[in-house]
Formats: sequence, C-alpha cells, structure tokens
Amino acid sequence: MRSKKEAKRILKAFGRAEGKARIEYIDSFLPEKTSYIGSINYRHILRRAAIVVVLMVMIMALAASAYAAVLHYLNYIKIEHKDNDEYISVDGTSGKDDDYSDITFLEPTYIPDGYTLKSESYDEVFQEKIWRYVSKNGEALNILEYPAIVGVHMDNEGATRSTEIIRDTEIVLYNYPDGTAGVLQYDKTLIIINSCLDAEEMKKIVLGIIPE
Amino acid sequence: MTDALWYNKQRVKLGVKVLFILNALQIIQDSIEDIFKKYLPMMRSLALSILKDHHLSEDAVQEALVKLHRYSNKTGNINANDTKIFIYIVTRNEAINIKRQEDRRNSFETDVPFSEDFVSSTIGGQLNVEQFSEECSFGPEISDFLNKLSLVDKDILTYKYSYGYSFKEIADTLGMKRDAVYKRHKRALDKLKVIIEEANEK
Repeated sequence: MRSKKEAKRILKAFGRAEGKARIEYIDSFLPEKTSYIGSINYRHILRRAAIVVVLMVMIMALAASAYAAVLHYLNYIKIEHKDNDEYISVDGTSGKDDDYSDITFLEPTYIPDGYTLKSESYDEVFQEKIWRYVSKNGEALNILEYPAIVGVHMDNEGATRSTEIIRDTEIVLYNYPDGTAGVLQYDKTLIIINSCLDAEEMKKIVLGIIPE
Repeated sequence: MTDALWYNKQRVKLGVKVLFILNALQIIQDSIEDIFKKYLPMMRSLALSILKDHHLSEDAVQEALVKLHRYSNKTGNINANDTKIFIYIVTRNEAINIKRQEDRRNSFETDVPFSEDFVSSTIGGQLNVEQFSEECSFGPEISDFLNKLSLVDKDILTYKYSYGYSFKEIADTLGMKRDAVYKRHKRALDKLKVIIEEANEK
C-alpha cells in the first residue's frame, strides 16, 4: 500500500516536472523574441517588388558590366521578408529562359567527415539535381542545383547573413544557431546548400563544388 | 524522383504558403492564424530537433498546422498552458511520423530501423530525467524507469498531473481510447510499485 502511494507520488512529481519543462521550452520561443508574418497584402507587395525590380535591374546591369569578366555573381534580386529572403532571378524575369535550357551541374567533391551520400536525384524536365548526405547522427547536408532562372526563398529568421567571395564567386551565407545555408551562382547554375555544419565547413564544400 | 520533385516544388516559404492557401479557401480561423504567428518558431525548432533537416522540418510543421486546424475545437485559448502542450505534442508526433517514413525508406539500404529511443534523446523540451532524479533523491532504478517511459506515457502523465485531466479528457485530447489511457497509467504505476518494493527489500 505504501509502495503504491510512493509510486503515485513519484509519477505525480514527474508529470508536473515534465509539463513544466515543456512549457519553459515553448515559452522560450514566444513572439516578443522573434518576428512573425502578419497578414500579407499581395497586391501591395507586387507593386513594391515591381519598382524594386526596375531599380535593381538598372543597378545590376551596371554592376554586371563591371564584374562579369572576373566574378561569378548572384544574378538575383533579393527581397527581404520578415522570415525569409526571396531571390528573384534577373534573367528569369526578363524572359531569358531559353538560354538556360542546358546547364552544367557541378558535382560536390568535398564532403565533411562522417557524412555519406543518402540519395542523388536528377529531374530532366526541370533540370534540377539534388545530392542528399546524412551524418552518423542523422544530420542532413543537402546540395541543390537549378537553372539560375528559378526563384528561391531562404529562411532568414534568427540568421546572420553575410556575403563572401570564394574563388571569384559570390556566395550569400546564412548562419543559423543550428547550422548554415548558402546561395551562389556559377555561370548558369544556381546552387543552394543547407546543412547543420558551421561556416568553415560550408566554405570547404563550396570550394569542392566551384571549378578551379 | 517523386520525393525530389515534391521537395523542389515546395520553394515558397511555409508562412506565405500556409496563409495563402488558408486565405484562398477562406477557411482560416483566428485561432489557427494566432497559433501560426505565436508558435511557429517553437514548432520549427522542435521539428528540427527531431528531423535535423530544414526541409523536412517545414513539412512536419505544415502537417501539424493542418492537423491543428482540424482539431481546432481542442485548441481553445491558445495562451493556456494545456493548449501549448497540445500544439507541442501534435508537432512532435508529425515530425516523428516523417522521421519514421524517412528511416523506413533508408532501412532498405542500411538495415538501421527507426528507434524511438534515439529520437527521444534529441527532442526539444524534454525533462532532464537524471537531473530531476538527483534533485528528488530517487535511486538509479527509479531514474532508469522514468527515462524509459514512452512519449505517450509522458504525455498522459503531463496532462494528468500538470493539468488535472481525467482519463477520458486525456483520451479525447490525444485521440486514444479511455481504457488505453487508463491501462498505460496503471501499467506505469504497477511497474514503479514493484521497483520501489524491490528497492526497499534491498
């Protein structure tokens, strides 16, 4: 009888402690610490985006003429939303799709220790290639390549963003608390890398993709 | 190929996509939009702690939001602690489902089956059992027992002892039968009782 009472007491204490731990975890993410999306007025956004596109095309055209010979730059317009950065292809919006009918896929040659290839897929119709790697701990490393006319979104919540030049190639790096991501363009190929790795490993992966 | 194509088509970020779909269908309820605004960072982080993959985590969160919309009668006041726990459990379970599917897909190649123990050890928001046992001066046998409780058992104990839910209320919340909830609780109680008796005999 006494042991039953003791067992109930222990389960009660455990149930309360488990509940408290969960609430503390949930409350640590509450909105006052993070941004969130309100209701979105698409017409307003499209109008603003159109003005930004026109301005940026003019600026990018100037920049492209100056850098095209020496730098592989990200030929995209970036629109920063509250929880994601939207990348709009300059060539994609100016109807240059035909120029991207036959892109080159760049095979990764450096993969961090402990990671193995989980799958490699290729879509002939959309010209998309994806390499998925996984570590022994189940952490994912994904390398995605598309024609650089595809629009993409990168999570920017809680991220520190930086732009670097690696082997004459512009890369936008996103440093999250639990990993990094990168966006870069090499010739007509857009490359996106998502991982739980740090920035240094990310850069080594990029060096293993970009031709010397 | 099908998976890759599906993932590639989900380029639009979760927030824009969900709101767009729900707005377009005009079925959005204030509670789901409020849940989305308030708990999205937690849901993402929780899913990521299980799946270790941003894309899969977003899928899990999306599935959880659809489920929460379906069970909107259970969410009520979204600021209440028991509602927070419900959102946590739904998100966690969707992430685990996706992990199971992924591991099942991979087990053909690696012979590594899905393990709830491995997933449990990485889930955000869980009580540190060793620390808790030390603070309450429980012996190693009790600590070991508490550590081995399944996620469903922990959910039942949380609702029962943190929020005073009856077995029927717990069953309704978790989508289980009342008898199943009662039996799980009794089994945990009886097992712990035996451990205590054996410890006392020593």
